[in-house]
Amino acid sequence: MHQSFLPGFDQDVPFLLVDVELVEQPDLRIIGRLMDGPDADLHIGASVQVTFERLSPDIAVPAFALEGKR
Amino acid sequence: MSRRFVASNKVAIVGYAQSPIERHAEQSLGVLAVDTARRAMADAGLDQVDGFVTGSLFPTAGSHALEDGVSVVTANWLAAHLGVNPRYAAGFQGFGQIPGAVSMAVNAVASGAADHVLVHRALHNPRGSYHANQMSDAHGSQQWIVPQGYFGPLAMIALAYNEYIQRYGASREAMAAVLVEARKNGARIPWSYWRDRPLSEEEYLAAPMINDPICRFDCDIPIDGVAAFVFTSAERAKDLPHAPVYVSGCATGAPVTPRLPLHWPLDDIMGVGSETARRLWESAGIGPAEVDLPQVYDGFSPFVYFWLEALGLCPVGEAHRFVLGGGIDSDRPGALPALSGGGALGNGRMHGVPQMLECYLQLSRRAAERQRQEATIGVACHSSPHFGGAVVYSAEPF
Repeated sequence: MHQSFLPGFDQDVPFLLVDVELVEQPDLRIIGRLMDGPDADLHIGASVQVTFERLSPDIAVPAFALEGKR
Repeated sequence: MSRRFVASNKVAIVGYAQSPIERHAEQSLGVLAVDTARRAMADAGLDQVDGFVTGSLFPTAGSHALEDGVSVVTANWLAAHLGVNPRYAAGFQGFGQIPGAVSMAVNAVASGAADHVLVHRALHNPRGSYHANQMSDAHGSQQWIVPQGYFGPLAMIALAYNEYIQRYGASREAMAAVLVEARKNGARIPWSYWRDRPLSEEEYLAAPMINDPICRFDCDIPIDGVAAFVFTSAERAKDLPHAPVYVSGCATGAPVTPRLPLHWPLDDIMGVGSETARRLWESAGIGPAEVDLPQVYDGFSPFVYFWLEALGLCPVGEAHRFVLGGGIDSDRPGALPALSGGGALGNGRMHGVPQMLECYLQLSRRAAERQRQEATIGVACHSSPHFGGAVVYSAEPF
């Protein structure tokens, strides 16, 4: 994402979003930030693990990191 | 049992009007719609119609006010401002507003609910950013995507296009061929926003990414514009001034897999899209090989690939090579002129109107210097193959 249409993301661009299918439930797909950054070496099928992106002291949202690179 | 459309070739388009397509019209959208509707009725040789249908969705993710007659124009608003007490007035609620509204108009004429139905589409470009939204908290299903920064239709199409690129190895040069083709054809159309303004491959390739791999040129430009078409029975059409263009079949579809808002994975698009296409051919009683004027939807450029493949006009995964090899070049004999009407990329954000209008103009032999003598059967697509629809038009009943 090089540009966001929402307020509050101007300091974050560019950021990278991934569409993740859960191993536990095929076809359940969720979208989150890839914490490895926008230049991560990424391809379809790459394994990720869930992590959390802390937006404020009391708010965290699910995000992802490439497996084996944490 | 045959699923051939019972009303196939029994209802026809008999007239039209298209307003100039401008970034910001001098008149309000409502005034533009009333004027365009009057011109369409006059073009069809009629003083009045008794049916009105539209899809009035305002396709913005931004925080813009919805006001009938200003930012949208509903069927009832238009009838009232033309001074008509309509026998039939209805709005299509789903995606794929153009094929949706056309199929409602055809059903109304075929059933006798109305004799002459005006289908219009009014699109507005509000002041300020089209999609910018100042929301400070997200509710309902948006809470699962908005805090992550996934918002608006560019993110939606960027995901599916990224899947396509990685799966099939599509290049930016191939998409440049799509844009060059759309803008070449749009530059030839008198009412187009892009009249006399083609786009070069170099300009396309130089554009920065907004939501990678989507750049500005992959998106149709927001505009003010109105188009209107008059439908009546094939029987009544014989007495009207212009050659009728028959509706041979129509189809729509919708995904059944539950998804987050604006989450359109490529497999959803193509899976449901192939069913939409199957329904379309069954409805019209023809196949893709008989179509000589396919008009694919292109509000976002990757839809060109998705529709070409969903309709079976080229193999799945091959559309990018097909366009790069001149497969949709409207000036190349033997090619499929899939964007000959300029599409939304070559006209401005008229939704599925350019596709429908090109089918009408070519098949009624009213395309003037752009006339394609060989055109007999057209397909007008709108929206995504899995969330929109398509209509088959014919110059002759069959």
